[in-house]
Amino acid sequence: MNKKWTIIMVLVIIIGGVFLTDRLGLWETESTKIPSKTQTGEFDPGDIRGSYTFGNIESSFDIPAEKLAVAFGIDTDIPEEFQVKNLEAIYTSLSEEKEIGTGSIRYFVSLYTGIESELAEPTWLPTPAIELLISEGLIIDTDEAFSWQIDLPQVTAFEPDNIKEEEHPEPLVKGNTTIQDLITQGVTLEELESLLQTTEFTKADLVRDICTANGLKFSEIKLEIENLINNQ
Amino acid sequence: MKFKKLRLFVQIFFFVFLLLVVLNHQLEESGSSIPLIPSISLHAICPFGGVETASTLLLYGSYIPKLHQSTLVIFALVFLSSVLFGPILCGYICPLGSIQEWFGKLGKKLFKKKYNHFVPKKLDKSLRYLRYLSLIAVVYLTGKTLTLIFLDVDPYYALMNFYTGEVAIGALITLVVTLSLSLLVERPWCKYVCPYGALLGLTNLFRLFTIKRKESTCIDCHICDNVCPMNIEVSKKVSIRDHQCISCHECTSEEHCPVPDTVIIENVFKKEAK
Repeated sequence: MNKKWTIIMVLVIIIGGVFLTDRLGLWETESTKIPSKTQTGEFDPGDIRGSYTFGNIESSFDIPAEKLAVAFGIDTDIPEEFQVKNLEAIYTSLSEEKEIGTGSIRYFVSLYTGIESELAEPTWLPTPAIELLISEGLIIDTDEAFSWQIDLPQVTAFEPDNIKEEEHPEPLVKGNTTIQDLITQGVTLEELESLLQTTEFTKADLVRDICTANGLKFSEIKLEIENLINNQ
Repeated sequence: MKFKKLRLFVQIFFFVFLLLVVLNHQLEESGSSIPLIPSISLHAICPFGGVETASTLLLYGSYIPKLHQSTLVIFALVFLSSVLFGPILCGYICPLGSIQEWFGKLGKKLFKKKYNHFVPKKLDKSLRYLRYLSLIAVVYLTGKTLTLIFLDVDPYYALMNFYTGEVAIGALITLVVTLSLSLLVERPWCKYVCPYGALLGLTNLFRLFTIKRKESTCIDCHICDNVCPMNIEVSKKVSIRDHQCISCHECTSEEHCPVPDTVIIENVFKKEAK
């Protein structure tokens, strides 16, 4: 065998292998942006992550990306590409207790679709979102959601480059935080077992998934863990 | 027809292709893209990612953040090709290997015959086992922290992403040191540190198509020894089973060996050439 054929064979194995696995559905180059399902078999609004785009939400929950953009006051020509995590960066001028972020999207989607989820807890919703829910007959002004209404501050048009994430401190516990991440930050296994009320987890498990599996509220556990880290 | 420039062509192709993949991934965030270039992260097509996440998959059944199934696929394909033909990835495809070689050409001009012979033989031989320590350390620490801890010092990631602002300072320093040392020693990272090269290098011990030297026609000119970037003494072997061979084929009769059909690529089942 000569050099030329050796190289051709290697390239055929690598490039051909990629094509073949792609056809077989094994070539996955990113995490799936499909939420897990609830016990009733519907997509779980509580599993929407910050990395999801309005387009991902449209695919799973059948809510047009344009409507999501209107509901959350996002001025953009490409609503399907807007990432949920950017909401917090945009609405920083709100006070600390009144946060518009991933939780708001989960709550809104839950109200819009009528799919109940423990992880889609009541939280602040912008006025346009409330108005949209009312106009579509999904809530009435005596519902709890109405009490979470918040007026949006004036924000500039959304362009991906405008988002300066470094201006916002990273939360200590996020949806993709693993047990190992917390151990690295100084939380002991015993503390975690006590908080999560179980020893049935591995270091690679997501805190959020353990909460879901054990019927715990992630938002509450998250606060308790953050307190542990801050009090060290 | 001769294919003297084939390796250089393949090296440049993959160097440019991977740079464009990284650039495309950056552009994607601003809504644009480069035609014909896949829109994927560098992590998704890094075969070493498969090694890094293997223990996590075995222990916990999940991937390390940023790594996906494609890293396992590409790892398996590269490993299969190495079992057949040796670590071609090192000699032809890896951009970090290529750029070290290109810096080395400048080193050759500066230091002439002294180039690639600065490190005393005995020390050099011992240092070459460092890359196994490096492999063990990366696999162990990645499994322990469940993060891509190697990224903080990875010169390959730094090389491909140097302009993105996403590179750790440790990785940039490692890249600068590696390229500087390339002026004195050919492929210093590959020889002494590369954890992935350590793993792929082991396939030289059992690869199906190996490089063989026919003693009957060899004229003992030692050109094969001199052109080997990894300083393997080809002239003293009949079959090149050295763990450091990068399958660059520089020693073969198709490249530098002056006698036709003397240093050749042949399958192991063929009787030893005499």
